[in-house]
Amino acid sequence: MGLVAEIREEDAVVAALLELARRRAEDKVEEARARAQEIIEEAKREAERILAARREKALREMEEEISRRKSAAEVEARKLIMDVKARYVGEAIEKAREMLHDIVAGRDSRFNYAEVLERLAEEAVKGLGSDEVYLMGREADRQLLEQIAERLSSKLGVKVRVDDNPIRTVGGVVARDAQDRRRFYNTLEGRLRDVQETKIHEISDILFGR
Amino acid sequence: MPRLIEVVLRTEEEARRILEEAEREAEKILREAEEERERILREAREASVEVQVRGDVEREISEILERAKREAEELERRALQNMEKAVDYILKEVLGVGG
Repeated sequence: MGLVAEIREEDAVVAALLELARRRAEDKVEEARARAQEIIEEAKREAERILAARREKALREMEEEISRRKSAAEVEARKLIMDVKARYVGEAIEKAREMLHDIVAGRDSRFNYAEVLERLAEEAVKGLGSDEVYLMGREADRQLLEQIAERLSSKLGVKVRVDDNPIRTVGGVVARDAQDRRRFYNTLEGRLRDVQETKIHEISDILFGR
Repeated sequence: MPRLIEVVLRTEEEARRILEEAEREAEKILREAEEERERILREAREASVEVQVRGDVEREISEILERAKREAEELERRALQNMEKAVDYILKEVLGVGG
């Protein structure tokens, strides 16, 4: 082979080798570009997922906040209604308490205190269930209680007496057995307390009914 | 022959340079893509997220309270109207004449 031909062949080999290297280089860069594109596309999808999750969380938090505020408003509303009811039930009880003084003093013609006292005394004597019962009441009721005791003794066949010591009460009686081991409280303020505790629904129905 | 070896070596050197340059270019592309990825994700995490507040919420809440106020007023009106009856009931229960 001549020198010229040898050189030509060398050049061709060099060119082929370099061409091969360039193609591999381009492939590598292309591959990187494609991978970069994938990375960015995946990042965009991930970003969308993040944003959607954050939006959903924000929405959920807002709904919870709304729900909390509505619940608070409902509690406030119920409290408003309950306060009104409690205020007027309390007012009715207080009015009744004041009127008991008038009834006991005989200033309310609708009620006869003497009859009331006798009924309360009888209930107390029966409730106590003893053979010998002492009635305790206001000093002002002593005479009335003496008469009631006498009547109840004959009516119920029980020895009913009036205790020497009066009690501080609006009205009504407390009955005790001879040894003062048991008592039956039937004072007006005690009964008012019972009514307040046990008849709250009935009082509300009357007050707030149509 | 030594000349051919020299040519081959030079060509290999050139081919290696081309490939190394491509390697660096590819690494740069991937590094930039990673940076871009980080930027996209950071923006997604830090972007302000706004949700549409239902316009009727405030109205619903004030309606609950208004309704309660109206009911309370109605209860007050009825209580004042029925107070005497209620007191009478309480007195009868206390005095034991309730029937």
